[in-house]
Amino acid sequence: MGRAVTLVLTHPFDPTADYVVSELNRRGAPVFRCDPGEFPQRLSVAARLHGAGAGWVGRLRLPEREVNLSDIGCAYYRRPTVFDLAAGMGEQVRRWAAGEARIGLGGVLSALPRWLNHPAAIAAAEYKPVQLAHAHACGLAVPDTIVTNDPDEAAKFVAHAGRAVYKPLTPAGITEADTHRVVFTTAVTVGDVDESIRLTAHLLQEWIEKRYEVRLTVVDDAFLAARIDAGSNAAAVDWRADYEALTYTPLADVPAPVRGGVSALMGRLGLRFGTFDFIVTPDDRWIFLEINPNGQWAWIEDATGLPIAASIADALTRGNR
Amino acid sequence: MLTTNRQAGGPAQARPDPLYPNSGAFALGRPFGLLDASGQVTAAEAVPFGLRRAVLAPAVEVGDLSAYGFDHDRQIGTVVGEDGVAVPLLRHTTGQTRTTTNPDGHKGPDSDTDQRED
Repeated sequence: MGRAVTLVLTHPFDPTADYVVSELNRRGAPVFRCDPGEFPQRLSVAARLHGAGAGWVGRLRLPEREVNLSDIGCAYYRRPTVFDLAAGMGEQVRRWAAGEARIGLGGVLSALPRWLNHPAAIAAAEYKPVQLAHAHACGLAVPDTIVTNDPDEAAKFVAHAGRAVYKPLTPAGITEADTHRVVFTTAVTVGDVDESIRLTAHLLQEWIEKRYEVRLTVVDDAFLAARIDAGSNAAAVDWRADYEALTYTPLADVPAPVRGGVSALMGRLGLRFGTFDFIVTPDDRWIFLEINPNGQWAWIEDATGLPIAASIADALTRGNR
Repeated sequence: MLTTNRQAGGPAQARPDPLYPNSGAFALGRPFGLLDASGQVTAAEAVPFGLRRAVLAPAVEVGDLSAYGFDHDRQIGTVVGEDGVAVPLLRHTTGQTRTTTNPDGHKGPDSDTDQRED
């Protein structure tokens, strides 16, 4: 067999994945890009398990190309979408067929030996309380945090902190009545806390004074850090709220204790890739905010020149035959 | 299903259990090009504290959906520019690598900006 193939799982209009595929193309490294959303209409799978010591043997096939499962060196999980099932299925049939597809195709893919990152590891790491606990255990400084639906406990926490922020636990917004709304980190005072806290889980953290923030992208042993300076009040609370007001500067160094803590955290979470958000305080302490196990990064590469796509391509092809 | 292993000095670590596969362990995004939308409006008293702080999502330019394509040889997205030539999508997008939104649910670019799902 020839060079191992990198399997890229994402939808067709994912420019961030395009960066990596383009880099792999430039290197002449074989790629098979597909979206589970093309299964079973355009994408087909035939995988057989037989013989001692062999894994799943077979192929994934698109009209344009195919790949032998045994030729896949590493799988890159980006933004795969849900299956494109045949028209005419009722809701219950569709749900059953989708479940079979997920466990069947998803199971064959999950059994591949090398991932960046394995989707199960991503799923586990997306729980903020989990990552905060592991970060703390790994020696990273984390803000005082409460997760609660108890208004009294929330009020006590905010009063004790003096200044606090509310952060959503998930990145999803909502669309009701044709209006799409999102939730960013927002400052909270004791007077803000009310009975609506009871309606679901809420995460509150102490306010951390910041000199600047850092978006640290880690790919195996590559640490690619960008300093983010906020130029507006909204961006100072949550830089996602006002991208136009941000300036980016590559950072040459990550403090050794932070680097060690990050490496340990990646190991605990079973991740090879992650984008970390840190606050750097006026006295130069790095405070861990969160890790995005499947975070976006292309705009950081554009803004800073940090070789993130190349580092990912390195990781995807490392150890390939 | 996830099982947990207790490590000394730290929280339990979640590990996927191969005997009880959890469909969420192979997560897939929403149907391509569709927002998970509802025409229903939640009564104010039923909106949780966090969601009361929601703001309108930043406007994202909606492009001509028919201009988008996929180069099956290079396996990358493309978009037709004003000169009628298809170029790689990543070169056409802004420094923030925004894709365009597609609230109508037609096949075409996804409804996320590159950053939003961080």
